Amino acid sequence: MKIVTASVSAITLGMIITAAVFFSTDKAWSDEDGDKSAFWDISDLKRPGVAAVSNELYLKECGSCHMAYPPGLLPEKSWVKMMGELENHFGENAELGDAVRTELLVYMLNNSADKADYRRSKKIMRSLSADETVDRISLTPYFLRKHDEVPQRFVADNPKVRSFSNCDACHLNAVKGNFNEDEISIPGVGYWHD
Amino acid sequence: MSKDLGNGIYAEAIMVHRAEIKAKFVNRYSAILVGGLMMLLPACASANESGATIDNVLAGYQSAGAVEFSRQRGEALWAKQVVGAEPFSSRSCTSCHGADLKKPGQHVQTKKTIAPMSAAANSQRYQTEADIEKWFLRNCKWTFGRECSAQEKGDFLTYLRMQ
Ligand code: HEC
Ligand code: HEC
Ligand code: HEC
Repeated sequence: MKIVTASVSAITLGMIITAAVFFSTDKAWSDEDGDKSAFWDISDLKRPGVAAVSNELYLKECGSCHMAYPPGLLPEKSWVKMMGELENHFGENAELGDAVRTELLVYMLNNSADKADYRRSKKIMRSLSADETVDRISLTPYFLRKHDEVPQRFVADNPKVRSFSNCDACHLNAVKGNFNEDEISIPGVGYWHD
Repeated sequence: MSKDLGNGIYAEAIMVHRAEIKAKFVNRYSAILVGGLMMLLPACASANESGATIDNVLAGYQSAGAVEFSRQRGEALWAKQVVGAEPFSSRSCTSCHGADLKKPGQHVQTKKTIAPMSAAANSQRYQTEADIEKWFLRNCKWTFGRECSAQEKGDFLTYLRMQ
């Protein structure tokens, strides 16, 4: 009888601890972007933000014309497509030799949104439909949803921003993989208050 | 360049990548890579004098048939305006690099700052043949819609190094 009581209370204690961990994590992160996930969704236990770029070759080759976008912002199939059409890269010529291209792609695929243990990568993945391949981070449903309150006059009509592709014009710590709402300042407009 | 995603380097890259995940080779590779880089470090820790690189590249152009290089021709071609597709209907090397080589330029589309092209004003310039050729290829195609000849590239470098 004693043994049974002891094991029952051990199980109860275990359940309380587990629940506490889930709920506290959920609370800590749900305020940041509003779309709360179910408490059993383990993706909320992933690291927040997106992995910062850690590869020197990628920083050099993919950071010369714009910030080096963290690979965790797009899935594998988008990167594979992009790396196959670098001669016509959004109106630019970004062509590379095969050796460099392959080395970059290996890094990108190891860190793409479908692999990354980061919360924003998971959310981008969840927003995408399986049958289409998006070309741009700024065209993912997750991105569009997050920016639907940012008016055109702050972006396209703002000579200091010009395009949503210019993440680091507004997100002060974009290069660190940090896109939190309290680290945004739009040029000529100021800090963002929701 | 191959656009067939199922073949060539893509298949290879994806295979490498999957194998890496499976066997956790990534760590081993980076250990080897870091080791290799450490050994290379003393050789490339600081920017090299660009003169020797440019001399080599120019010698290569000459053996490819280029005649004597001209700073004036380089300067004229640098500023030459060419009709291109909208929204960049008028294109030249100055579209992104600007006319004053000692000053930073700005990428015409992304607005990212581009460090000065003058070798004298910018010690990071013209470090490797591979980078010089990579950018000549891209930028000549974007600006002129074609690759530049050895003669034209030599004239450009002769102009750029003298600024
Ligand atoms: C020669 C210049 C150049 C190089 C080199 C370059 N890009 Fe780009 N990239 C551009 C331009 C121009 C755009 C379009 C920007 C815009 O629309 O405002 C762009 C857009 C992008 C976008 C879309 C951004 C968005 O809106 O979501 C991604 C992703 C991207 N580049 C990744 C890369 C990667 C990866 C590499 C390295 C293999 C690379 N780029 C190298 C010029 C370049
Ligand atoms: C014109 C300035 C601007 C640019 C450029 C921009 N953003 Fe944002 N971004 C914002 C603002 C403002 C918000 C907050 C919107 C809100 O709260 O309604 C935001 C929100 C976000 C969020 C959600 C933050 C959160 O905590 O919920 C992410 C992720 C993000 N941006 C990523 C990006 C990426 C990646 C790029 C580049 C491809 C980019 N942004 C370009 C202004 C910008
Ligand atoms: C659309 C923008 C753009 C145009 C137009 C352009 N360039 Fe560039 N160029 C760049 C960028 C970006 C870089 C790399 C960034 C850096 O080196 O700071 C670069 C780098 C170079 C380099 C490599 C320098 C080095 O240090 O190795 C050379 C050479 C060069 N450009 C020549 C030219 C010539 C010649 C033209 C005209 C035919 C031209 N560029 C037109 C954007 C441009």
